[in-house]
Formats: sequence, C-alpha cells, structure tokens
Amino acid sequence: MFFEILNKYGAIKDNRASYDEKVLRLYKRYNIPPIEIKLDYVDNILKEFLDSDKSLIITGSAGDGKTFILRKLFEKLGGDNKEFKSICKINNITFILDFTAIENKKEIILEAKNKKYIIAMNEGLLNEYVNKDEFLIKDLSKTSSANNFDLLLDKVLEYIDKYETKNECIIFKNIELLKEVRGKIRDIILMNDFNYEHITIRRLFVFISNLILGSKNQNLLKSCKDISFLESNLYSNIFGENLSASMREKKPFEFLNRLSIGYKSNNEIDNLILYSKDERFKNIYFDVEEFFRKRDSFLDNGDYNLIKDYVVFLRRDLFFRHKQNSLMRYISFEAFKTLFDDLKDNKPVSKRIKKLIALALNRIFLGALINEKDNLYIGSSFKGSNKKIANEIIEKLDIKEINFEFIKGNDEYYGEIYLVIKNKKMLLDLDIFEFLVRIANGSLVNSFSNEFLERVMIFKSHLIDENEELILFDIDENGKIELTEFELGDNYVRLQ
Amino acid sequence: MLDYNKIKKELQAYKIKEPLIAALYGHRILATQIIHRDFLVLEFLNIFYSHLKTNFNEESVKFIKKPNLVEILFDSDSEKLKEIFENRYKDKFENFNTFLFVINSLKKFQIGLDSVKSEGKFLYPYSFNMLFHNDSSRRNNFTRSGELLYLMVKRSKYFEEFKKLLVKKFSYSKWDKIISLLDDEYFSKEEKLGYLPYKEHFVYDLLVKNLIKVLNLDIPKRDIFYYFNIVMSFFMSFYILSVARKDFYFVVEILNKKSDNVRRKSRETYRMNEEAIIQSIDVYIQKYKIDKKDVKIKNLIEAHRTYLRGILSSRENTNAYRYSISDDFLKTLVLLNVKDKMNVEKFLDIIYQEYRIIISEKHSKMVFELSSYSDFRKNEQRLIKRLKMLGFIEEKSDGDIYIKVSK
Repeated sequence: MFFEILNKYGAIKDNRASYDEKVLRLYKRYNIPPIEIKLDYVDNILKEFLDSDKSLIITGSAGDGKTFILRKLFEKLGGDNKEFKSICKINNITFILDFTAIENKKEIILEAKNKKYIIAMNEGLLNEYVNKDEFLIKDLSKTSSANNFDLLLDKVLEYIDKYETKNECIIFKNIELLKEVRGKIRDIILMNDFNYEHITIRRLFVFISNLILGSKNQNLLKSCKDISFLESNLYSNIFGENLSASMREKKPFEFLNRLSIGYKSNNEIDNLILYSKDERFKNIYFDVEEFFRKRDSFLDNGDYNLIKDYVVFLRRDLFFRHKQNSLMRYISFEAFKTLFDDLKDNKPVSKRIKKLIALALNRIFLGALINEKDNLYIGSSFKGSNKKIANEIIEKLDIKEINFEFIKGNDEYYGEIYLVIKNKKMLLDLDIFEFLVRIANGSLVNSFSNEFLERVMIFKSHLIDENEELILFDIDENGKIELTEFELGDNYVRLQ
Repeated sequence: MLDYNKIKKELQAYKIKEPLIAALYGHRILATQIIHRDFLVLEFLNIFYSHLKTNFNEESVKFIKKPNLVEILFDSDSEKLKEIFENRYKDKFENFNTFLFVINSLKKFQIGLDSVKSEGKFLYPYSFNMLFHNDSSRRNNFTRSGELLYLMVKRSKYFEEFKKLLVKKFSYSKWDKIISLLDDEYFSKEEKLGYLPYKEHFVYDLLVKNLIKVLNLDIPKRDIFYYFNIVMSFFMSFYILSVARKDFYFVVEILNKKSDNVRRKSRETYRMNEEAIIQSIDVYIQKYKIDKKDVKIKNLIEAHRTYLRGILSSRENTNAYRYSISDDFLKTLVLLNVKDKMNVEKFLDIIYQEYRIIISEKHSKMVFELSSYSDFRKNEQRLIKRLKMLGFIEEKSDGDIYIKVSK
C-alpha cells in the first residue's frame, strides 16, 4: 500500500494543492503517518531567531517545504498543531504561512519590524516588499539537495520495509540496486548542488518515486508486477526514460540527461561490452547468457537494435556499480569536492589547486598557451578587455593572491564558493571549475560553449585597474612569459 | 512640415546639389561599411576634444592634426624610420631598437582601414591625446555623421553632466607621454560643422542618458570605446527612424532556427520602417517638385542597416533583413540597465519603453494584433536562454527568473 502512496508522489502535475491533498488522503486511508524528514537546521534557525530581535522570513521555491519549516518552528515554540493555520500566534510571535494571500502586505512588513513575525514568502515578494537588512532571512534553496536526497531516501526505504512485503518483482529489484548505487546517484545530485542548481524536496519525491516505480508502459507502477527489465529498471528510471519529454526537461532529470551516461562511451568500455565475457556483466535484471546469445547474433548480422538496450544498460552498470568513471562528463568532480570540503572545514586550499587556477586563468587572460602557474598575469588587449588576445600585462600577482570565499547555507553540506582575486569575486561552480581544469590540461578555449569564456572575461574586466606601468610581453617556445617594461622619463624612453 | 525653401538657403554653404535629405535628417548621414561605426565614435571624440580646447561653438571646428605621428606609424618602412629617428628622436629614445619597439607597440593600437594608404588609420583612443584627424577633404571616413552625433550630444539637456564625465575619463592615459614625445598637436584651419535640423529632440536626451550610463559603468577605461560604438550606432539608427516616423518600434527575434511569427513580424517592421524613411522624403519631393534622381535615399536606408549590423539587424538564415539582437548588444543593454538584480519582465519593460524593442508576448500584444502570440512567448524563452549563456541569469525553481550582474 505504500507503493500506491509513492506512486502519487511521482504523479505530480505541478498543481500543488491537489497534489498534497491526494497524497494526504491516501496516508489517511491506509492509516500511515505521512513521511517527514528530520531537518537538523530547523533548530539552528530557531536559535538564531530567538537570539535576534529581527523577524524571520523563510523563503525558497515552491515545493521546498516553507510551510513545513514553519510548522516545525511553531511546534518547537510549544504551539499546538491543531492551531497551526494561515495566520496564527504563539508566545507573541505571529506566523504567516502564505504571504501571497495577505492583503495588507506593506502594513504587515512595517509591523514586523517592531514585533516578532515568522513569515513564509517567495523570492518575488521578498524582493518587492522587504529591505533585506531589516530581517532575518533564510532561503531554503540554500540547502543541499544531495543531503535531502539521502534523508528522503532513508525514510522511503524505511517505509517500504515497514509497509510492503518483499518479493521477487521488478520493484524490489529496483530497490535492491538502488541501495547498492545510491552513493553514486547522490554524487550526481551533489554535482548539481555544486552548480548551485537547487532541487526542491517535492522534486526529490518525484525523483525517488520514479527510481523505484518508473515503468515505460505504465509511467509509474502502483504495485508489484512481473515485467521485463526493458520496461522498468533503475538505470532508465534515473534518467526518466519512462517519462514524457516535458517531464524529462525538469529537475533533476534535465541535469542527469545532460551527463548522457550510457550514450556517450569510449572504445575501452565498448570493446569490453561487445567482445568480452566479463564477470561484472552479471546483474539482477537479466541472464547474462541471454545477452551473449543476442550479442553473437548481432556480431553475425549487424542488427544493433538486438542489443542496444543491453549495451546502454551495461555501460551504466559499469559506471554506477563498478565505478567506471571514464564515462563521467566531469573530470574535475573529485577535485572540486576536495576544494569544497577544505573550504567548509576552514582548511587552507592546496597549492596545487591554486596553481591549476593560475595556469588556466593565465591562458584565458592572455589568450595564449602559456605555461606559467606560479604567478597570475592579468593582461589585456589594447583594444578592449573583452578581446581574446592580450598585448600588455597589467599586473603580475603572486598565487597567494588567489583566494576563496565560502558562504555557508542552511545545512553543513551546502555552500557557495567564490574565487576571490583583488577583492573581486567570481562564483565558482562545477561547470566553470571544469572549464578551468580542462584549459589547464591543454584544451583550447574554442572547444567550449562561449558562456564559460564570457563569464571569465567579465571577471577579468573587473580585475583590470588602468595603472601606470607599461609592460609588454612575449612568450618563448616553452610557454614562459618574457616581460618588457617601458621606462619613461620626462623626455626619453628606455626599455627594461 | 518644414519650410524647405528657407532651410535650403541655410544649407547653401555646404554646396549640396539637392539638400532635401540634409534638411530633414541632417548633413550628413553616411555609413556603408561596418568600419564607419568606429569612425562615427572617433569623429565624435575628435570634435568634442577640439571644442574642449577651443570653445563649444556649434558652427565650426578646427581638427587636431598629428602629421609626425601619422607618418611614423602608418607611412614609414624601417629604413625611413631609421632616418626619422636619426634626425628627430635620437635624444628621446635610448637607441633605435627602443624607438622601433615603441612604434611597433603603438601599432597594436591601430584601428581603421586595412589599406596601404595611411589615411583612415587611427589609434584606439585611451585619452584625448591619442586622437587626431587623418582624413582627406573628401570625407570618405569621417563622413560628418560623427559631427551630427556631436551636435545631438551638445544639444541634449544632459550635455554638461556628460562633458564632465567624459573629460574625467579621457583627459589622461599612461600612453600620453610617449605620444607627446613623438608629436605635437596642430590644428587645421576652421571648417564648417555639419548641419542638424532640430534644436531639440527626445533622441538627443535618450542618447546622452545612455552614454552617461556607459561612463558610469565599473569597466576598464579601454572598454568605453566598445560600448560607445554600440550605443552611438544604435541611436543613429534610432534617430533616423524617429525622424521618419514617430511611432516606430523594433520587433526583435532572438535568433531562431526556423521561421515563425516573430520573424515574419520582424521582417515586416523592418520593411515598414524603411518605407517610412522613403515616405518621409517622398512627401517633400512631391510638394516641392524635386527631381527624384538627385535625392539619395539609398544612403539613409543603408545607414539604418549599417548602424544596426551586429547590433540589431541580421540576415542570418534568410535573405530579407530583420531585427535580431546580438550578444554584444544584449550584454550592453543588461549592463546599462541592471544595477544588481532585475526581474526579466521588468527588463523587458525597460527595453520596450526606452529602446522600443519588442521581444515578449506582453509588448507585442500592446502594439499589434495576431491570432496567436505563442511564438513571442517562445522568443522570450530564447532570450532567457541567451542571457543564461552570457552568465546573467539566476533562476528559482518556482519560475522566478532574475537577471543578475556580478560585481
């Protein structure tokens, strides 16, 4: 019976009211308490609120549980759940569950400057009505989706254990594999976090529901069925292949599909799949001998359709279960994770990372394949900072001047990283970091989408101070920079 | 209607065979190649600087000349340079190699024509000191369009504010010393400045407001020329159209792979706007019985296109012209109008109200009737995509989308 509820979580049509209602009705019918995840940061928010004399505003995207957080705060302050309604009060603190529905918005905001309020509102209203310095503001989108995924999945698995009986059907196969590869799925959600693209709790419900129940013929299963892996398996469900194209455009499927795991491959992997009888091919969904038979007939007559689904499955299986990371689009994920953890734990960033960033920025800033990583050269064309090839060096910095800023989110797993040079900041997300790493590895700027270069060039333009030095440069055959400085007297010019 | 016979007399000094276009639009608007957009800015700066050194008199101008600099940079091979060095610069540079190095470095500032002749070559201006007039009397390069633009700026009510800012930004650069070592400043004899018919015009103020925004941007000084080029070129077309027709607008396609209602409407308005230019002149041709052959409407049509090329005019994927926004112009509009963070809808409102650019469903509905506006909705989506590519978008998953400019 829990599968039926989980099914409802997945069948979201983005109509919030009816969605919540339907799910709650089912919980009631089966007499099961609704799933709630324990968010540790609620206590922190409450403490911060009580220590401050400001009112609190909870903001975030629709489906991120603003109301849920307010309910928790209400309970923790001693409020009775039955009295929790659109406007309610406890200990002289007024709760407003939905600021959109309030008519006298300006007056409420005015009053909230003197009296204690806890208000939920979306970002649009926040920007329109609120002076951000006057309130304590908590944005729920600054919460780790990867951590929420873990918390939610724990709960869902706990409910399945409690309310469903295990058997051999496809749903339990999906669950079994999910338990095995959940760390890898979490990693991918973490990549999404590292791009600062938040996935709401409601979307995570949709995702988990799809992982377990997704089926190509039925969209989502409601109960156990004996069907082939071609119709339902965890891997195709991860990427929402059972869903409509418009659903696949939504988070988190859109990001997952951008990674094209299973479709992009390399010779090593494909030779393995097409020609070997590797032990690792054994899996819970199909008899590997059956695959070998089909593969033989493909190798005889060349009909790829016979084995296409198997090949995609096995590539993914190699990636998720057997850690074949060569199939991952990001080569810099592990390095970014280390950087993130170091910053989070207040540890100094390794010199290696700084050198790597200096090398990449030197190449981009000067528009040449330079091999300098001990200093950062800020350069520009004479004809504008946005030109790709530089003529002059404006400033030479020590790599000590490459710094980072870490801005914490609500939970300990969320944070935003800024690259800071000369007090100017650039948001460092995984995509930009990947771009820098690849440039440092020798890729050419032109082989990337223009947006990354554009962002780095805008950052560069902020770093240029039109100073007095006249320094030109040349690059020798080893990629080293040679500087020529003009020395100007009142009536003569010398070179240095 | 203007009293053409009266204006004609005023224009006699310019010795134009048939000055009808000059009377209506000014003398003169001419831009046939993309390089004319650089020349527009240079000509403008030249006149501004000359007036700054003399007086801000709208009647005439003495151009700044730097014959030695031009000769050294654009008219000498190494042999000749050696001779010049020995004769004139020996005591100012430690040796010939230094001199050569300096000259070769300055050559990297070169903008203008890519021809063998020295005429039409200039330096990318960091300061007033780097400006000079390097054009024959035929005005092939400095076509007087920069003179018109100067007069527009001069006549706007924000001129004083603009003047202060421009002087602040352009009165000094680190290259000045070297330029001064190489040449002095000479003035040409006084010449009559171009003719701009209207004493005041809303476009003048709009133009200068935007130029002021450029000067207030937190950008390196060397980037000002780039933004000036875009803003000045855009407003030259804007001026032409606003003289031709009061209620013109640009229906702008965010580049689309296939043709749709937006593209059709965009081509249609492009055609309408150009017809309005022709119309505005035809009325006078008929009234004053002027010989059509002597009126070069083509120049105006061409200028409208040239000034918008790479900004708002495109023929990509089609053979007819239409309005389609470039990344350069889009970036400029964002930087000029978004301080920190702005809702996409508000941005669309601003570019409609201030620049007459129609992209969205909302504004197309306000201006014309269609059976379906869904293509404009898609146009809006493509705009967001483009802005995202440029790194300007912050998206909240409940559909609130903001344009964000990093500091």
